[in-house]
Amino acid sequence: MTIPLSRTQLALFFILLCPVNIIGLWWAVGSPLVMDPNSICRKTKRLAGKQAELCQTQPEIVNEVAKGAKLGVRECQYQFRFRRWNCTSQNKYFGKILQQDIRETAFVYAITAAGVTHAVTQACSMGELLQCGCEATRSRGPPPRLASMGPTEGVKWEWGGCGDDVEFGYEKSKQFMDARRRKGKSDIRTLIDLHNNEAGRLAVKNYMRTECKCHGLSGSCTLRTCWKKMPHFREVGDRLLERFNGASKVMGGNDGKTLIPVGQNIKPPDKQDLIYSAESPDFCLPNRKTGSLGTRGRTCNSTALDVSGCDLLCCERGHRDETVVLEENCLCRFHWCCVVQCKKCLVRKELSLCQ
Amino acid sequence: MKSLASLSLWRIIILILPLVSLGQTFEYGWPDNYDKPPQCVDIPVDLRLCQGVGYHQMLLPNLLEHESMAEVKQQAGSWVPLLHKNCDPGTQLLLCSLFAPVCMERPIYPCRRLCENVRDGCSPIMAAFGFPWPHILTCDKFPQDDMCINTPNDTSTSEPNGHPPVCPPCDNEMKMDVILDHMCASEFAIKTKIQEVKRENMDRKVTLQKKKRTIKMGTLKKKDLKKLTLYLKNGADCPCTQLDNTRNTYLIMGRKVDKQYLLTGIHKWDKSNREFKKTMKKLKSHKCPAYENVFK
Repeated sequence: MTIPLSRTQLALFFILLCPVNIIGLWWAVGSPLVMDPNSICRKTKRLAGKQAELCQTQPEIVNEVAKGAKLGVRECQYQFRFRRWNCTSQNKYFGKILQQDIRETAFVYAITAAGVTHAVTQACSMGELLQCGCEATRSRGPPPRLASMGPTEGVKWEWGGCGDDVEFGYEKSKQFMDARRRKGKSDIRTLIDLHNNEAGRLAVKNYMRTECKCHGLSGSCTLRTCWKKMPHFREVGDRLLERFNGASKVMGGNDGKTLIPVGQNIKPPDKQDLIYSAESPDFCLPNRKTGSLGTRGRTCNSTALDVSGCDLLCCERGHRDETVVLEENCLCRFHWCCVVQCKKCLVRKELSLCQ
Repeated sequence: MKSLASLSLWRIIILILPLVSLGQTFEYGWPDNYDKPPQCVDIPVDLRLCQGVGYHQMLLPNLLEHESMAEVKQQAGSWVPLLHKNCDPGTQLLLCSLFAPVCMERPIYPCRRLCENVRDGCSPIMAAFGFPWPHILTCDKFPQDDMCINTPNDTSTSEPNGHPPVCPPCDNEMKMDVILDHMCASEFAIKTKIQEVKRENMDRKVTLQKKKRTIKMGTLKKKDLKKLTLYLKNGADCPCTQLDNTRNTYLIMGRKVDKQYLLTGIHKWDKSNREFKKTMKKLKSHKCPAYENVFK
């Protein structure tokens, strides 16, 4: 008589044997469960005290935190898509990046904190969270004069609409991402992480813009309502990439509680700058310890001279050219009402791949 | 040695990485990569601008960035009177392709030619009401390829009209829906008689009698009401039978543009007309879509 394996043992067996991408598929199948707040809270048993508290008292906010982290990682992949390190989503290699204090670590911390700020604030405006809503703007002064709005004489305006309550998203990002801060302990790495989290949040909070809508008769601007809006997240990503390129190297001060810039006559980083303490590897070859996947097989641009060019991206190992033939929709036409009909075209694409 | 902060962040990211990796192809079909994607909703019965347009579902938010149905209705309301003018066969199609866009995987904009035809046919009438062709309908931004909305049968059959065109504010059907739409699209409405009509440059200046009753106050103030003078914009030479008859009482609608009050509609106050009586009764309970409801 064979003793049947329990479900837990079977799942464990499955996880241990399957490669990462199949685990990814397995997760995808269960994606509704993954996005369930209780499921997330259960799966992150060893959260720090404040995070555990948030999971118990405000699980729907934790749901938005997860969405924000996802938003951050996707933006990271977009911003680094042409670089040697391209914010790979492979678990173990990505985890190695987070365990270092290189520039790339700084970017991931910042973009994730920004993503959480953005997602939670967005959920407020969408009415998806009971704890928050639209930001009240009644007490503010008139919106700044917008040149594109034409002459303001005779234009009635008022604060209204659904202003983004970025303060709420900012605070929740702080509570969740900086949970370690509450304990009072500090080591250099924690100080760096907290700084970069804050830089990410400020990349959202300090760049609120005024959005206005004209709703007079026939779309005229005789009546206008304005409200505060977060920057688009692509804009946040662009800004943080700039900070990444200009990041400051720091080291611990003698008191063990402060960070000082490395190098003579260097301006100390301000709150919005990214900081790091260790030099990045070159990311040319696979290296489990550093989280480098290497650039072999990456698509590169044989005519570009920047980081996406073949010489730089392939670490001067050379590249090979390949021609692929793809079938694409072409000559699309909209027919009334309402279908889009396209023809199929064969398109030759020249690819350059790193050796 | 490992920072606990990094460990907890890693755990959060580990949870969502598989989802991110599977969606690695970047789909940025919509302007903002995080805002809610548009939803497919039925065109409501009371979105009068788009009844009978040829499809029954629309995208919300629409292509004019109206985010709620209340906002769509409020903004579409002032365009309904233009439909009644029949200035171009493609008017409704152009407006509804933006206010109530068809539900497709990606947005389908009106064709530039459709926009230009409607603009050329309708902007003179809009000018009579004091409206320039609005920025939201600038034709240059619409596509010229085949992936756009055009009039189904694109044959420009222009019927030469023997009569000179009636002044747009005077060219009104005695019909409840038309009058109510005009009422909502106007800022004020009064019951009064005409005292004098005079040409003034390209316009006609209409002086009203002292005795007036306010039907819809709107932006009008009491002191302005006393000495109210209305202008028929670009109406120096077009026919308007209502202005020729100073003995009748009229329902007069208007709006303020800069410092002038423009006539936007004039109907004979005809108590013997059943449709008119029905309209006046309905007027007491009729509510125009108001912008206050949209944003608060």
